[in-house]
Amino acid sequence: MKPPTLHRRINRGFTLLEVVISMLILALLAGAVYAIVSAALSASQATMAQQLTLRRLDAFERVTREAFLNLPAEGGVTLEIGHSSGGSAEQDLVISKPQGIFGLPSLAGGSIVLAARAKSDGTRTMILLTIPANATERERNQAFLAPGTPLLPHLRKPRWSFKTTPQDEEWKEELPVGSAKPILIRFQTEIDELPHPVESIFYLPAIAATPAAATSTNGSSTNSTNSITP
Amino acid sequence: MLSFRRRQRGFTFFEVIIALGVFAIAVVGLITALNTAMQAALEVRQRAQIRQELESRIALRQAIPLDKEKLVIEAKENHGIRLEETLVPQSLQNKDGEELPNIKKLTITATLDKQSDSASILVNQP
Repeated sequence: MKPPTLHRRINRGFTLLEVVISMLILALLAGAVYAIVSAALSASQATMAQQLTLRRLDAFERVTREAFLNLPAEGGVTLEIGHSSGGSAEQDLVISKPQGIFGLPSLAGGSIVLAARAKSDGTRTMILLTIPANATERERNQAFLAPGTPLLPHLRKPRWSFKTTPQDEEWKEELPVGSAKPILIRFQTEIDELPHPVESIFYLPAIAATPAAATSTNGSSTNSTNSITP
Repeated sequence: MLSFRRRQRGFTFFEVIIALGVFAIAVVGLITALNTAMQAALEVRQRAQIRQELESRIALRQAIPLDKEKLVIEAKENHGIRLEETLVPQSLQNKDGEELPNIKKLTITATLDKQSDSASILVNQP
């Protein structure tokens, strides 16, 4: 009776309890590893989204800065409100007669529009629209409703503000058609992918009118010099 | 008796310690790698934020010149970024060797947490 028992005991496998405990330990370890790896993956995904947003933001600021710095004397900047189809008061920054932007030709005196359009998820997308020169009122309104080129997605509360003179203490929220050209333009927004609010200030240098423009606006002085020459 | 003792004994204390040690090293390694990556991403973001702030500040200073020699804006008054602006006279000569008057060098230093960067421009102001 005794030898078979000993034989059975030596050859026997794990008890059910041992197997269950070891499986539990294995499950715990696997769970821990999975948690770490999935945290790393989601963190890297968030980082990649952030990097992409930073690059887009950088590109947006670069071209906008360039557009303002190269704006000719006869060009202008205005803020127009309420062009989008939804009827909400969206701000559209119209930069008229810019030199080329985004590799676009100089538009032959047309305008570009930086427009914030509402998306169904509650965020705004900054898009670029172009308005050809000599557009009729109807063509101009059509141009504002075009889909445009998306520049910056997932914006919240994008807003533009302006200073017209260096002495201005406050940033003005409005810049209707016909007002003086601003000297500083500020763009503020929040972007879903970035934890910090974004604020960019652009400088719009005061440029003396080109000779052609000077002749038309300052005709009397030109005439006087002409009269002396003969 | 011998077989009975063998069946009953578990791992020795030493074995358990080694197993735990190996596991701990693996976990610490993983977490360190993860932390380093997160830190690097944070630094990249902060650098971008600092550069953006510097560009905005230069734009502002082109329109509104600094009217004193040194200006410090603390981080809590400027959405987390500390700004330091200094204006020093800069010697600059034209090609005939004449000294150009009123040229000053404006240096703007932006600091966010431990990251810092600076930019300088020459300005013409009396």
